Amino acid sequence: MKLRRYVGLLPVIFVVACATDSARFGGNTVTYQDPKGINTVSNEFNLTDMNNIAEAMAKKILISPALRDTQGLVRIAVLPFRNDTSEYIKSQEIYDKITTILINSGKVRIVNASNDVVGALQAQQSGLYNQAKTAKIGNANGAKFAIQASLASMTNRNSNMRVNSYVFGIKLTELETLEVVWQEGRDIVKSSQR
Amino acid sequence: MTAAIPVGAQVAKETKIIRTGSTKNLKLESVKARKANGYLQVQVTLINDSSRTVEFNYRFRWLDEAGFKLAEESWQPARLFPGQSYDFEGVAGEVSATDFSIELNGMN
Repeated sequence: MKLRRYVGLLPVIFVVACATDSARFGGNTVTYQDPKGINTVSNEFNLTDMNNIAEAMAKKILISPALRDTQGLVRIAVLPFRNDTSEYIKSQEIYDKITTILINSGKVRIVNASNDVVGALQAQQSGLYNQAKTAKIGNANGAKFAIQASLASMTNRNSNMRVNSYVFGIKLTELETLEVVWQEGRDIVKSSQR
Repeated sequence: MTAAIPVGAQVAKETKIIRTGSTKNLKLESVKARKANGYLQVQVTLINDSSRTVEFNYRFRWLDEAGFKLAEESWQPARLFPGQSYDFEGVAGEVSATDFSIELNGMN
C-alpha cells in the first residue's frame, strides 16, 4: 500500500527534478546564475561591472545636453577602446552593450565604418556583382559625434587584503569642432581577504 | 493597469518599491521622477536607519503605460554605513517607459 503511494509521487519527483537549474556533470555541480546578478567570485573585472557600467553610461549619454540639443537622429561613431589595465578586458563587449541601449532608444544610430564593413561595400563595386543591385558608394551618413572609452586599473595589496580599483571613462567628441561635449566616468573598487 | 507616474513630482514612495531579503533598516527618504530628453529619470534617496552597516542590491524595472515590463536593469551593489544616506538614479532607455518599480534586496 505504502509502495503504491510512493509510485504515485514519481511524476511529481520527476517534474521537480527537471525544474531545478542545477545538474551534476563529472562530479561537479553546474548551476545557472542570473546574468544580471552580482558576481563576487573574484575581485577582477567581470560581467557585473561590464553591465553596470554600460547601462549607466549609455543612459547618461541619452540624457546628455549634447543629444538634447541635436534635432532628429543622432549619428555616433565608436572609436577604439583603450584598455589600461593589466587584465584582458573584452572591450568590444562593453561597447556592444552601450550601443545596444543607444540604438534601441530610437534616438541614436551608430555609424559603423569598420574595415570589414567598408571592405564589404568596396567589394560590391567590383565586377563580381550585378551593379543594378549593389550598395552605392557615397551615401553613408557621417557621424556627428564619436564615443571613446577607456578603462584603467590599480591594485593595492598587503598580507591580508587585496584591493582592485577600476576607473572607467567615456567621452563624446563633436567631430566637426573636435570639442569634447560630454564626459563621464565610473569608479569600481573591489576588495578581497586573503 | 499601472497608472503613469506624475512626472516632475515626488511619487508615492513605497508603492514603487519591491523589497526582498532584509531591508527593514533601509528607510526610503524620497523617490523623484522627471523626463529628461524624453526619457524617464528617477532619483531615489535611502537612509540606513540602523547602527550597523547594511549591504543591499537594487535595480530598476521600466514599464510602459499598460504596465508591461520593457526592461530590467542589472543588479547594483551598495553598502551603507550607519546613518548614511544614499542617492541613486536610473534612466529608462526607451521613451515609451512611463512607469517604474525599484527592487531592493537586503543582504544582511
